[in-house]
Amino acid sequence: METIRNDAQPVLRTEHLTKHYGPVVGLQDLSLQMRAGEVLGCLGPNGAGKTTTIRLLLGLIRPTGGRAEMFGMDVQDEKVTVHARVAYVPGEATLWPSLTGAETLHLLARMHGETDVAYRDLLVKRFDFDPARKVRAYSKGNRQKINLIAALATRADLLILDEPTAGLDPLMEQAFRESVLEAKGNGQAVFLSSHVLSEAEALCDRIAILRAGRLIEIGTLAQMRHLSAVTVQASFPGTPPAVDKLPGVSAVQVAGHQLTCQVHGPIDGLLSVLAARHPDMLLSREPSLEELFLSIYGEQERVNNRARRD
Amino acid sequence: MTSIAASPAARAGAGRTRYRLPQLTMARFVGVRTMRTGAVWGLVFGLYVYDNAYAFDTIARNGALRHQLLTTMASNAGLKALLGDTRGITSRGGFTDWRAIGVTALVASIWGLLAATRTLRGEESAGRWELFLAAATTQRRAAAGALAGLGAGVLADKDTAAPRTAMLGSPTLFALRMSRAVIISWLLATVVAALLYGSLAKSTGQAFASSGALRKFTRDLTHVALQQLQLAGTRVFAGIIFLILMALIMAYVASAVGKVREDEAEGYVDNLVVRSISRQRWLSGRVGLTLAVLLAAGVLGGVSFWVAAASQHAGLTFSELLLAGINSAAPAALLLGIGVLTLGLVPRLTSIVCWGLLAWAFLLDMLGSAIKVNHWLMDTSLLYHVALAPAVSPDWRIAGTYLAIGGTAALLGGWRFTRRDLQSS
Repeated sequence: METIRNDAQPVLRTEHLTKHYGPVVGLQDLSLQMRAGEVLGCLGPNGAGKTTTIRLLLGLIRPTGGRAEMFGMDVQDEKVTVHARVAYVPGEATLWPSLTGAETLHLLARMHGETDVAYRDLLVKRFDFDPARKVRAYSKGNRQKINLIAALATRADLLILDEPTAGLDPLMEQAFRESVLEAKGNGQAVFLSSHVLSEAEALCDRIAILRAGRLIEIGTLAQMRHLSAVTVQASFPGTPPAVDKLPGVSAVQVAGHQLTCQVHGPIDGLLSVLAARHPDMLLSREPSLEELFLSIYGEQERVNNRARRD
Repeated sequence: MTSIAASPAARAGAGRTRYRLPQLTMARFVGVRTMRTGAVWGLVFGLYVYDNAYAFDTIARNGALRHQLLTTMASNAGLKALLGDTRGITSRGGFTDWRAIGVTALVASIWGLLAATRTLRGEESAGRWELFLAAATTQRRAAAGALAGLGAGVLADKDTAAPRTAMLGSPTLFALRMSRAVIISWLLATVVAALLYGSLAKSTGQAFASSGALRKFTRDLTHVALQQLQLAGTRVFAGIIFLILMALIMAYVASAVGKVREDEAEGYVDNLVVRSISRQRWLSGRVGLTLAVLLAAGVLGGVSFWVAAASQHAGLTFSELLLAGINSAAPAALLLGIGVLTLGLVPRLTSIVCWGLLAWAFLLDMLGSAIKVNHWLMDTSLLYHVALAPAVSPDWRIAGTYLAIGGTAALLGGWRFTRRDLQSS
């Protein structure tokens, strides 16, 4: 399928997108952009606003404030035109129990309006999916495969995936990653909502972290790592030095001759202290996405607690 | 869910709650779920039975006339077919039983069938049975529990099939594919009932024409002027049958609009409108399909009644019965419009409003046949204003007004539906 893409125009843009459910904040002031060929991960625990964001982008719910555009068109005003260029995988698949897998794939393709049948057949093989069974007889993972195959086979300009690997086994997760990277290589953009951090780490160019309906961080993994601590591990022939008073050092743990800590900012002060004790081993590594995520959430929690106390 | 299967170790642990008789959880759950609508219908039936018991005193001026009237009724095959066995109708109990039991059984059967389908097949389709079966119960026990709460059967079905891709090309065709068994059943039931009652039209009509007391009784039921009744006994009987047909078509509409809401609540709509299908197209397809079915039911009812009545030389013309059938679809069209309006404004109340209006109309019409009910109250019934064709000529002004109000309500509801949040359950 040949698709003409205008790379200058953002695939997706939101400006102060806000959704309130009565007094409850579903999403507050979300502003972001995505370009063609980009994979944007949207992370956050349950209730952070990921699904609300997706439902707003798809026009399933209306914003309380702000706006969202896809391909330069308002997602509320031009839903059908926009949806023809978007494919969506919901977190919880609601499919028709009396249809078979093949019938469901056919139906979803017809409703979308366009699909690459040869690629769909390839995806059926890749995901090891048996389309002859009725939906009611499938496991959760197999139902999710229907949604994934139907969405990927459209080769839409933007894939919106909400917890797409829920219920998939590790082999199928691998097949999913392969398919997403294929889509990215083809110039398709992918909006990936997930709480599987390793998945986001492996696939995403940028990551947005939501908390209680608010965007608290967005950037590449490298940018986020600069904001966070470096983990340092060292072992000594004798007692490890006291480092907890050093500037930028936190989360100090001492176990026998081993010391583990985290450093925000310049590391040279810590290195001088450690080197003076002649360590047997010294390791430093950048934080994983999981550590970043927990650190950002922990920091936010501390800020909130402080605000509440004040 | 309150059923918790505790292991021996867990049973010994402090702070754990152990529920009594977990094997009855399914029955309790189904019982509670059906209790609300069951209570509404129970109230309607109760009032209806009371109304009929009261009507025993009012159908004739004195006991002798009442006895004469009821004896005439008891010998009439058409009335037997319409309201059931006429034995003992000269007593208050027998009369109440005769008048109330047939109609309540018919309405209760339809409601029971819909509730049973939703609870058994609908729950299985939605995957909620699995939650129960994972607890301290078995498939057989859970089904038995559901049956105890309802009273119906579970049928097995194949889990694999060759793909059939017909009728998957548009949301309306797809809706037709998914509901065709229900639609065919409704239409078939309409045809069979119309054929049955049409074959009794002549004999019942003769009884209506020959008895002054029976004509008066029928006037109270049908609101048709006495002079007109004297002219057309067969038509009056047909009019009563078409009144029942109106209620049946309204029941179909209430069920169809409820299914539209259910598709939204369960998330099926999401799966279509996130593709190249607009909400407007999806909803108008569903409304159009329901409209086509209710019109088809009216036409088939009229034609089938004519086929059976003509075979008995009942003297009813094809055109008057066809028009009576079309006329009987008018209140259902209004109910459809109100249903769509509710879907647009307060989606969670869609089913309640539709079934409530049907129950209300049915109750008022039956009450109005026995006792004098305030006309303002009667005006709120969707059935009250519609001409009881072919007992009288269809009033197309009323039918047109119903269609206009229904159409406006549907447009308003549809407009609102396209602009509100989709609400899942």
